Amino acid sequence: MTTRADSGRDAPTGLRARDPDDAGRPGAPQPKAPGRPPAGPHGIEGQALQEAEAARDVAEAARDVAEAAQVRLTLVARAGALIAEARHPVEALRRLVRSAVPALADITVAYRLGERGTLRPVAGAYADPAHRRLARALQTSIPLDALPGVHPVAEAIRTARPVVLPSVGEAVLRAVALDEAHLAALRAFGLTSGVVLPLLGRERVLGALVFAAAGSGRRYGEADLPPFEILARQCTAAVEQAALFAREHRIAATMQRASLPRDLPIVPGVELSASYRPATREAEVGGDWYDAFRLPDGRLALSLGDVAGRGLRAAVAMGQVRPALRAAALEGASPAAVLDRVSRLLQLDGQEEMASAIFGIFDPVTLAFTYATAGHPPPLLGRPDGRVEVLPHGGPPLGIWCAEGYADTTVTLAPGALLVLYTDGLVEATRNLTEGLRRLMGVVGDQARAPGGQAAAAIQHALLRHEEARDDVAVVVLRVQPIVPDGLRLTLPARPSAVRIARQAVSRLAAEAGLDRRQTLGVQVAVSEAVSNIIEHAYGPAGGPIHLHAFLAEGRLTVEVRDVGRWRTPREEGRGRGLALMRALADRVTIERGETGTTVRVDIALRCAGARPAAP
Amino acid sequence: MPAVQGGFTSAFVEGIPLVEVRGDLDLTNVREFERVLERAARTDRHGVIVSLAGTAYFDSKGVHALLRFAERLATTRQRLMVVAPRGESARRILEIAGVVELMPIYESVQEALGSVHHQFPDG
Repeated sequence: MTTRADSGRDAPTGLRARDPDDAGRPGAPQPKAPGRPPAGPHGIEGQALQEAEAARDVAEAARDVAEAAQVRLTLVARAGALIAEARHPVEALRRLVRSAVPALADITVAYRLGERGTLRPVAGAYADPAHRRLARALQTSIPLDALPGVHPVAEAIRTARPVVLPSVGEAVLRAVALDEAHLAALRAFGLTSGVVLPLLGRERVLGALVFAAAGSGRRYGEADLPPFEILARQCTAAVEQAALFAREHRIAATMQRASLPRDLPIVPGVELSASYRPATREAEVGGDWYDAFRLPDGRLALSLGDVAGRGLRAAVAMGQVRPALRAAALEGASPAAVLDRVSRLLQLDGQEEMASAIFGIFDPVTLAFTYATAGHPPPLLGRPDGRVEVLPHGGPPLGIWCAEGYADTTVTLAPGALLVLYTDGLVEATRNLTEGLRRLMGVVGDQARAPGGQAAAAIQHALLRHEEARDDVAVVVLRVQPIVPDGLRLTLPARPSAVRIARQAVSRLAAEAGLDRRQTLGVQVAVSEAVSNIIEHAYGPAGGPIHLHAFLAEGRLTVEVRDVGRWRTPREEGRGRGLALMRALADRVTIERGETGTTVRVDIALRCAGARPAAP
Repeated sequence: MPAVQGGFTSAFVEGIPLVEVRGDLDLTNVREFERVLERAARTDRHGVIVSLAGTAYFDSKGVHALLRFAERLATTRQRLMVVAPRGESARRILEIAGVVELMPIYESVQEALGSVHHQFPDG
């Protein structure tokens, strides 16, 4: 449970609970404020400093005001701590107005001044519910220029000084009202006295706070200003700080989102799933990433890691590491060499970025996974029988020079196996790492035994559903689909990349069936030609699906490639030679053209099924 | 070793442009292949050697590209020399497609170079 929500709600409610008629009336004896400490954790850097300043301000002011006002100052100090924790400017203003009513005013409204000079009420608190309803009808944005010059809010902003209205009578209302309807609405509040304070930011006026008496009969004078001024200062600091936070979080979160792949690649015979959960505390978006992409030779590259640090800086660093891994991988380097290059890249120019990572390459035909790790928790291998193996890991974090360097490890995944890559947030959420890893192994074992679709999300959910996400968590799971009697079914979009995916799919089946080189070439060419033909001729520019079904039955490997396009006259050149190759290399090729599309069926007889070694 | 990346390398051997096809050549990259061939054709007036010795996969897309390229070179009186060692899958595809009768196929780059020097003794 986040303590942020507690500090945001409970404390102001506690303040509001006091009797509105006598509480906070200047000069009136007040009940001792309950000695509650400021609620909530001190998650913000520099907050301690702000609190110290607030306390000092309070102490100075306290010397100057009467004994009765000290109670209000306690309240002000507490409100200061409360608003300092806001992570968004409007949230800071909401907290402020809530803590001021009814202790300091009957009505408190916070206005923000937009960059284009528009004044907008963003938060209001009202001791009388009827006033809240009235205010709701009035809440509109007004250009500052449109306000009458004598309007106290306009005056406070223009002069950058507080405006005190000891009494508010009909004359003031008339001077302030925009029109007759507005005047009528203002009268309905029954305002009697008020104070307006500008929110003076470092570079500009951010807005204004209006504290008004309406019903309690309290009357504000110059002498009452100090606590309001302190509140306004604290509020300004909180608004500026929260604006920075909100901005940084927005940028970090955007970068994070942009850095994660939108879609995972389609890999025949493999279920790939990924899951990412950002840290709950908004400003603490971390630098976790995952990535999955195809190398030009059709193998699948996986990367996953965690850049040290939090927030924007980590997001920026992560934005460098992930593409660097891609670039190194595209040059054909082994995983250990890829990590080595990226580590050296991070060491350039004395950059102090550091990251933990795992990078691996999976061959969907041979089912070999070669990987290297850098200061990263060990990948796990779950077997269909539920046994879970902790795979070797080692190597220094990226960005750290170390003589040891990185090493490649290769494991071959059996059909049905589950490969699990994760960042430490998955195992560190609980008490300790060993315990976290033990729990993870249990969950991975369960997943391996009971195949389901979204393994990554399921694993993360099983481990973290009751935990607060203090850290980012990224999980990538690769499951090798078990060999099923029904064979392999695949639907691909009719784009050039489908040719290689389809070829890879049948290559794996050919290897499992023990086809020789010549037979393997036959099935590869047959499928590639059929799929190429669909891509080039079956559909218009809008594209469409390619259905592939490859299976072993009756001593044959059969591949069916189907489109649902309208058959169009193909270019003779392309079709003729491709078909001739298919016929020459396969035992039988049949083409069925129907109203709903075309099915190309290729049969290859398994001459010495199982006796020959798999194609190299 | 599956670490071969699909791609093309262009070089000159003894003054003759050589294009090597590595990894797979199919619909995915045949357009790029044709652009690489065209660039090579513009660098020398004698001809171009295309080596399929390191080609893992080759089908009718590659066959058409080679046939079109041979026609294009013929218009400028350049020669196309294809290296495709016997027993490799690319050679088998060229044989089935009947291309071996349409253009000279060599066992190695050296053999192709020998034919160039034989034909153009003065280089």
